[in-house]
Amino acid sequence: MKLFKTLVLAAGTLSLAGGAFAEEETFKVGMVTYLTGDWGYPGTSTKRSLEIAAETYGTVLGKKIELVIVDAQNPNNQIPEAQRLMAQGIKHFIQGYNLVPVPLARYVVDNGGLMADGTSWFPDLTEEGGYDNYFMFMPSWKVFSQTLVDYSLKFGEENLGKKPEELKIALIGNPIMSYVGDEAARILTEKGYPPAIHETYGNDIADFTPIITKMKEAGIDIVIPYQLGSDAELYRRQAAGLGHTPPILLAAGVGYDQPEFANMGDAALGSMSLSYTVPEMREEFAPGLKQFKETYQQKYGEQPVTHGLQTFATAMAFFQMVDKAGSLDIDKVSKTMAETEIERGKLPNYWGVKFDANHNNLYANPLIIGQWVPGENGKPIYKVVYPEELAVEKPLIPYFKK
Amino acid sequence: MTFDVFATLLLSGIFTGALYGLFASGLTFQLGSLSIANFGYGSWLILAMYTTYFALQVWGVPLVAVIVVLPLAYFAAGYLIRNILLRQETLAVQILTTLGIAMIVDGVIIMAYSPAPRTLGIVEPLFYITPGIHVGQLRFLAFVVAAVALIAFQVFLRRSYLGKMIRAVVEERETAQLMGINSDRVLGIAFGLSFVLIAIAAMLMIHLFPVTTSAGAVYQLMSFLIATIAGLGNMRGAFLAGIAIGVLNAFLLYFAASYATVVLFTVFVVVLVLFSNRTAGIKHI
Repeated sequence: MKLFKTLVLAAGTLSLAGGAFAEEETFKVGMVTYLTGDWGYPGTSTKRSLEIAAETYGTVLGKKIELVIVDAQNPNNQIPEAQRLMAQGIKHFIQGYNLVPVPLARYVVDNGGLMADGTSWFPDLTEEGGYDNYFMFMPSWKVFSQTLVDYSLKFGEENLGKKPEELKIALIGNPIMSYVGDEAARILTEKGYPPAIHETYGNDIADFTPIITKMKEAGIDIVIPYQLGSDAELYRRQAAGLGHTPPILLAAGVGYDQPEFANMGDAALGSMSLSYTVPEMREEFAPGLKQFKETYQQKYGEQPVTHGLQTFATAMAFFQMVDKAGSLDIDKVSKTMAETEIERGKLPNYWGVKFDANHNNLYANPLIIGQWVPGENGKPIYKVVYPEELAVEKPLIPYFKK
Repeated sequence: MTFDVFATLLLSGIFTGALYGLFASGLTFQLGSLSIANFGYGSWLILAMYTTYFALQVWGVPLVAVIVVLPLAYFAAGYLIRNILLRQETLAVQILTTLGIAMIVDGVIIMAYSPAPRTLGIVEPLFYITPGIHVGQLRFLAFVVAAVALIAFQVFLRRSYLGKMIRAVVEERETAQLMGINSDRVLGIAFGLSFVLIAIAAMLMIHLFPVTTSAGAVYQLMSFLIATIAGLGNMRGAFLAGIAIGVLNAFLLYFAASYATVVLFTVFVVVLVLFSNRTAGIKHI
């Protein structure tokens, strides 16, 4: 009897302890991004957005979502940081903002992890194929380049009344973004409309006067800048000072859709920017967007940037898919993700989710165009102007009447 | 190319280049005259740019106060760094110490100001010489300030008692010490003055260029390039080399922007090969 009581007590204690352990068990999700260093700003936005997604979604398979977000500071530390997280048993990753995201994703997947990539536009893994546990939620930069060309020719024809072969197009940008500019130039040339000017200047550029002078002399109709924040800002300011007002300026995102762009005042006006879907688009077609923006504003005193929104939407979709898989097992989650279809207009970034055989997201479109227009307080405000279903205003083309 | 375009590019190159010359002059003075290899130079430059931005834009400090306080603060920082951290004059210690300080400065920038790029967002008004030839007013002002600052610095070194002490210590340290000059104090002051040049350059630059946390490395490299072309320690040469690079860059950007950086650094390598004695620590002051 004594032995029986001891066994019962032991079993009870173990079951209680087991219950306690079970309650403590969490769903660990890793993110490697930059929280400090040169790319800390967009990286921090992805971190904050993932945190809001975890809070908003609550639990996955009844387990609290435990985020382990680490600061790689720069591309050199990405893989060691991922290695450290995987050594702790973390297998599920959301891609943060990373300058060189492909090696990181490859490392995670090659080592038995799963990467839901909602920020990168590099399609290396989906093009190579065979990466069953890598899911690219974003459109690739090649789609970006193609869309830049398509929209430019469309706006040129519709708003300037010029046939594509009559349009004078200038592509100017930074070496870091040159693959986008080079691809756009290649597409234009292939179509028979080679750019009038195509220049990739150095990172250390301090004076745009020569390039602007050259564009003014050439009578450029459309400028397509592929620039980062600082050179975009310097270019626009100098262009305003020099009275360089091309009828259409359609930038390849990045530098042109950041909040700081407004700080230059009137020099920002008229610029358009091709982007992923952005927080500034119409909220009624993107359920959860309004709440996300409000929460972000409340917590951090500012609005999220586009990478933040994409991270939030990707994380929300990913949590849904894990719940649907009914297991944290990587193969089961991967299989469920591959089979899942979320229609457009159901996620906070508007885009839907449907992966092809190589895990490209077929519903990661349309890309949007934003334009800087005068705000109520005189400061430029970024408004989505295209496509119509997501636009809050119509584009003003040409912005500057001659 | 019309004459108007040629003249505009030339002037634009001169005025932008003068700013290059100013921001490189502090490094050339440190390297050539004081024999201090400051690998944190670019970081100090962007710290001053960020600080000026925040002072003017966020904290609402009047420009005059910034112009007075920032150079004084930088002088103090330079003096303390030289006399506390860089007393040991071996090259390896200097490199490691200044790199370490640079990492701290970069960290301070990120913690205090966040890594977001900052800009005063000033659209530079133009000054028209003829209807077709123009220069940016801020660039012109920067040219004048840079020229005045560097001339004043040279005059100070040549004419003032303290300046003569600095030259004496730089040229014959032991003899100067035997004559009763406190060389550590004098070198501290000289290093502090080179930091004043950094502060002046930064205050001008933030009115023209955005600042990012990665800009320090670019400025460091550009300063080294100019200092080397000019000859280490040759501040007048740094100013002129800055202008030469500015003009060359302006025309390269016009004719072949894609090759501008490659050509500039090829020039740098050629200068290094042909005039390698310029990097041998010649003390032009």
